[in-house]
Amino acid sequence: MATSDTPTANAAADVVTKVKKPGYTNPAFKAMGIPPLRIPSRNWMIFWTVLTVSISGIVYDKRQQKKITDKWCKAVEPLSKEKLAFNEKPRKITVFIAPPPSDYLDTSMTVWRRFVKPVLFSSGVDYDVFTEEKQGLIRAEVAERIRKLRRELLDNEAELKRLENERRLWSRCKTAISKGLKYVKAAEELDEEQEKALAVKYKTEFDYRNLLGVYYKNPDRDLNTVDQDALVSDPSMAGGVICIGRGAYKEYIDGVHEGILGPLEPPLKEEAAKIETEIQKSAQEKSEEPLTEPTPVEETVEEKQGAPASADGEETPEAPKPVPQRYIYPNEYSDANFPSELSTSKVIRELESQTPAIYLQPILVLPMPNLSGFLNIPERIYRFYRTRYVADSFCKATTSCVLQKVRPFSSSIDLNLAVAEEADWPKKWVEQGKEKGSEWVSELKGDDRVLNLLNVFESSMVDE
Amino acid sequence: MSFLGLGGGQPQMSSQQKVSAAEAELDLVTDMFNKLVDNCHKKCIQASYNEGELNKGESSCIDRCVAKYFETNVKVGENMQKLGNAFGNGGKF
Repeated sequence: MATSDTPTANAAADVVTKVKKPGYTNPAFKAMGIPPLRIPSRNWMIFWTVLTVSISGIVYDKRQQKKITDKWCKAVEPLSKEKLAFNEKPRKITVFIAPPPSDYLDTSMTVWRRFVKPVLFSSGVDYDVFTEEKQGLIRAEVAERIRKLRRELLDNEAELKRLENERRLWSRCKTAISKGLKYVKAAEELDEEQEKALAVKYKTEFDYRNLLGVYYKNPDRDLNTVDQDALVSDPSMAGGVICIGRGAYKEYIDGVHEGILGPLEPPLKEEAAKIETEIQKSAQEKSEEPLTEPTPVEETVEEKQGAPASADGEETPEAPKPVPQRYIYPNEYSDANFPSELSTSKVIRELESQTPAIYLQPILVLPMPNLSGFLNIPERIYRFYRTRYVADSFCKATTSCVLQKVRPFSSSIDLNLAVAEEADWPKKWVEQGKEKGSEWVSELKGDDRVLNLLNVFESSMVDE
Repeated sequence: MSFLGLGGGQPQMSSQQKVSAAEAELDLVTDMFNKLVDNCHKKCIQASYNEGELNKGESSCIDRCVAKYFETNVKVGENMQKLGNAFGNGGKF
C-alpha cells in the first residue's frame, strides 16, 4: 500500500508544479511578501475576456448614444434661444405612440423618452403626446378631430348665413323705425333715450380690469394669446405630427382618410353587415351605399343603442371601452365624395386657435425596431450592441421635424414609410391579426385626393 | 338637513367662521401659487438673466411646468379628500 501510494503522490505533485508556471518575481517582491506574478489559467482568461468585452461593449454603446443625442440636441438648441413674445405659444407637435406588436407601450415610450423627447425639448417646441394601448384608438382620435373640425366649419357657415340674413332684416327695420321716431319724438325724449342707451352700454362694457388689479393701465391687456402655428401662411410650416411605429402611422393615415372622406355620423350598419362588406366588396354594396345614408329616424335608433352601452361603461370602469368602429373602409374611399367644406382654396384652419388642420401638418414616421421571441435572441443581442445607430437615425429624423425639412407626400413611396419594421412583427401575431381583421396587418391604402394634401418630413435633408 | 338629530349635515357656520375659512383658503391658494412660481422659476429660467424677454425653450418649459404642477395638485387634492372622507366615515360608524 505504502509503496504504491508514494509514486502517485509524487506524480500529482509533478503535475501541479508543471501546471503552475513560475511567473515573474524578484527578490524585492519576495522580501515584501508579494507572491510571484503570473497570468491566470486558460479558463479564467476566457471568462475575464468575455466579461470585459461584453460589458465594455454595453458601456461604449451607451456613451455613444449619449454623445449622439447630445450632438443633435446641441444642433437644435439655437432655436430655443429665439425670443418668444409672452402672448405667443410655440409651435406644437402632436406625437402618436403605439406599442409594438405583442409588446407593451413602455417599449415605445422608452424610445420616445430617450431619443425623441430630448431633441424636441431642447429645441423649445411644444408637444402633445397621444398614446394607445389598443389598436384603433389613434385612428379614431384623428378621425374624430377632423370630423369635429368639419362639423364646426359647417356650423360656422350656417351661422354666418343666418347672421347675414338677420342683419339685413334688422337694418331695414331700424332705418324704418328711426325715420318714424324722428318725426314723432321731441328732442328731450331723444336725450333720455340716449342716456339710457349709454347706461346700458356702460354696464355691458364694465370690466374690473379697467379699474384695478394687474391689468389696470397695462398696455398689453388686450393682447390675445396666439399660436405661432396660426401665424404661418404655409400649412406645411406649421406644427407637425410624429408617429412612432409603423402601426401608429398606418392608423394615422387611416384616420385622416376616415375623417375627411367618411360620413359625419356613425354608420348604421351592424357588425354583421360590416363583415359582409369586407368580404364581398362587391359592386352591389357600393351601389347600396348611398341608399343607407343616415336618416333621422335611424339615427335616433342608433343613439338609443349607443346610450345603454356607454352607461354600462360608466358603471363598470374596469371594462375597457370598445374601440369606435370605422366610419368608412379603404375599399369605399374611391366612392366617397370629397367634403365641400374642406374643398375651399383657402387653408383649412381650426376655428378657435386658427392653426392649420392636423392633416395639413407634415408627418414624421419613426420605425420602431422591436424583435421578440426566443429564437431571435442572437439578433436581439446584436441589435442591443448597436443601439447607437438607431439613436442616431431617430435623433436625426426628429431634428428634421424640428428644422422643418418638408417635402410633399408622394403617394407611391410614402405609404411605405417605415415598412421595413413589418419584417420584425411576429408571424403568429400577424396571422392572428389577419383573422381578426386588424388594421395593422392589412395593406395600407390611400386615396389620392387626400394624399395630395399631406406633407412629410425628410430626414435626409438634414445636414450633419 | 338634519332630521331628529340624524343626517348630520355640516354645522352652520357663523360669519366669523366663514371669514376665517375664506382666509385659510386664500392662504392655501397663495401658498400654492408661490410654490409654483418658485419651482418653475428654478426649473426653467436660467439664472444668468441675459435677456429681459423669455425665449422659446423657457416659455414652453414654464408652460409644461405649470400644467404639471396644477395637475398634480388637483390629483393630490382629490386623493386627500377621498382619504379624509374615508376617515370621517370611519369615525362615524
